[in-house]
Amino acid sequence: MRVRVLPRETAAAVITSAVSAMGWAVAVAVILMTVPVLIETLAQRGRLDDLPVTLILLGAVLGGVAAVAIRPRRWVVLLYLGLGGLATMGYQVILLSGDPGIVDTSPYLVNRPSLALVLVGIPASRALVGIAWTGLGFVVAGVVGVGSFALADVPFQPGLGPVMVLALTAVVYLTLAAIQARIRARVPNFDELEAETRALAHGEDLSRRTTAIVHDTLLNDLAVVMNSPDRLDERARERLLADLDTLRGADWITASADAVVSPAEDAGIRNELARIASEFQWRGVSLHITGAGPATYIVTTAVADAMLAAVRASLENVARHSGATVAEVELISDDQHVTIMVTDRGKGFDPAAVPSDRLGLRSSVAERMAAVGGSARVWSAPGEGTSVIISAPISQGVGP
Amino acid sequence: MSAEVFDRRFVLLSPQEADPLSWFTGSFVPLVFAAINLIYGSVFAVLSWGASPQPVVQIVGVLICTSACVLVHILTRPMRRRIGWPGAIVAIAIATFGFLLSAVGYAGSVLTIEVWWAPFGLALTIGSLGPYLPARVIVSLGTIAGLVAVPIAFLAIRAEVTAWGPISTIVIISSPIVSGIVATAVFSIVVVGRTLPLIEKRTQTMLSVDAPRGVRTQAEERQRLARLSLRAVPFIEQVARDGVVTTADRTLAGQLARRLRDDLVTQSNLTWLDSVAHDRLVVVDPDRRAGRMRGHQRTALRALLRAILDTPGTDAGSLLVELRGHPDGSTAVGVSLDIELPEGRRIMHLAPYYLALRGSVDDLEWKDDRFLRMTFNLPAVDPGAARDPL
Repeated sequence: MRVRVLPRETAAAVITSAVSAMGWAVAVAVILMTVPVLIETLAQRGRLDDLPVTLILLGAVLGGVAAVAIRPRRWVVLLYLGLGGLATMGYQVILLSGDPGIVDTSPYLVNRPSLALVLVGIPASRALVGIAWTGLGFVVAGVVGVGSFALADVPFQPGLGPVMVLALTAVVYLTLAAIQARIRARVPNFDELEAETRALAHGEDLSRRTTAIVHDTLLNDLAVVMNSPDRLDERARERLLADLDTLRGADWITASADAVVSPAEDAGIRNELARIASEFQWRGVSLHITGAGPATYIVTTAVADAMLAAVRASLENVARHSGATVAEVELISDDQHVTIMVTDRGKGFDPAAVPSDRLGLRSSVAERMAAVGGSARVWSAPGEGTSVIISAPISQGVGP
Repeated sequence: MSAEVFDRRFVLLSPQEADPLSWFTGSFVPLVFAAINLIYGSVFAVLSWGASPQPVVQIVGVLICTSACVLVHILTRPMRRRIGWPGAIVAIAIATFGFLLSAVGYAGSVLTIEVWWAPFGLALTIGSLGPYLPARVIVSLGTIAGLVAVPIAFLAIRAEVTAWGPISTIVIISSPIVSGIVATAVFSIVVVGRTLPLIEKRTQTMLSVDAPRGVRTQAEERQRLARLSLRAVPFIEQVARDGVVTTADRTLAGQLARRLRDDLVTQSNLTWLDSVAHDRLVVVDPDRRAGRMRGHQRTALRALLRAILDTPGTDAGSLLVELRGHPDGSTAVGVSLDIELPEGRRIMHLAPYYLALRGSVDDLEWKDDRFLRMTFNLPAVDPGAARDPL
């Protein structure tokens, strides 16, 4: 998941373009609220005969706004300004013709569809573009007004409505644009921060792998040397050199965590367990490997590596601390998990008394398994032996 | 945003909730609306000074409506809790009172209702709440305010309005208010409706480590491995080649093993939090819960901690981050800094980081006292997410 932050340019464009949608909605509201005023005024002036045509013309303006809202393309807006301007002119000429007194108090009623012209623009990602479209609507409304009053032979009264709408729209556009510009200057580059987080996590993962591998190889090799007889036999020398090769190759640093499991690797865990058994028998611990039903289960390479390393680390503890010469390795599986239990009947220990500076089971077993979505639990008590249960999710069960 | 994809959240969330970072300096919207209200109302009141028997009442009304917008500005300052119903109700009630005061003030005088400032004053207050309230709240409160204020205003001024019939008078008075409600609600719906899908699509994107950083990280890890094994590898190699182990070899192996184990333990105990600032940040994390944080949470917290540490006046070592587990598996995180910073600068500097973190964690609280105190919760780890915590 990523931080819930939009790129600032995208957020600013969304907000600025919302102003045009706001304009369409207000244009619709203005036209609808004009209807009762028109009906009452024409009724009062005894001109109800003019009502149907003026309502149709208002409806035409309303339809134009709806068309722009549904399909906010430049050519639709221009078409609307042309046809809507003509409808507005027709509406105004009808109201003014033969009744100049209708604008005696104010041109409020006559100007209503003009507001709808000013309020219509296209969704603009930049404030100046939005203001330009509003300005164009204002000019069209002005031309229509002047023309209507001239055609009706009535002295022109511009009215405050279109000017207020133009001013308010411009202020809203500019305010929102200024706010977004301020925010752009203050909000850090979260894309960069996220990339750093990923790199840190990647480094942490590599570091964890390195710690576990150095523990399993170099630290154990040093222990072997500390406790070895004066002469190392051939197998011991080969093992030390193999560990050094592992460290020099450092393949885990470049290896993908989720390598594709190929059919050739289907028996990988079984083969590796056999190799581990052979190795520990040489070190004085006999392994009895049991369990594992007839089914085959596929796990990711990361899970397989983690489980084998955890088994190896558990057996290291048996060999070095338990005093036991026999350990049981039991494989158990169900539809979702594969579990390996390593048990010895050695001297055991009190898990709560283990110093926090000891890495063994914590780093090599528990943390490694947790990193691949698995788990590891240790049961032990002084004199009662030790059981380590290592469990991990399977990717797929492929049948017997 | 067609009908079939209309999501109820579009009317239940505010633009600020959908994208907090777009509005942390947005409290200037109410200030701009307050200025418009003050200018337009004052001009109208002055121009109609002689027409009203109590012209001062209009000035008072203008100031009351302006103060409603200023209140919205104060309530929407960064780091404050969301304004919600109570704050909005108070602001709209104040503006409604200013509107009614103006109506009563014009009783008995000639009034041009088409350009009357008071309905605009109420509409502007409603508009100033646009970024901070869901459309549902805007429509509800605006409608209630209109239903209360418009009839009272109509009764107060109807005798003086001779140019329009009663229906027209009511429509003309309510027209700015209805337009304000419609404009504000549509703005809120459109911003939320366009922002949410974008932000959700983006948050669900998984990022991989870019190649240059990956190569750099691997090179650093190789160097670390070389440092760890510098002494021990040649020694083991020599022993393996010779096949002979002397007493001195065993002693040296013991020394090297102790040193190597210390290095490994030190490395194993480090968390990503330690990488933020090794010497300027105290991390208390006995259960190693920092490792359970997801990528977006790490990014947001790391960015905030770095911003705090970069704030002038921040003392080294005084920044404490403490993580404690709850029985339900969730983690409580506390961040504290025992240094007093100038509030304005602190707020504006830290606000974007704070808001980014608020979108990534639960129950984030910012204690607004003299010193920085912040707490939040991380939910219990989803077992299915353990394989890729980022």
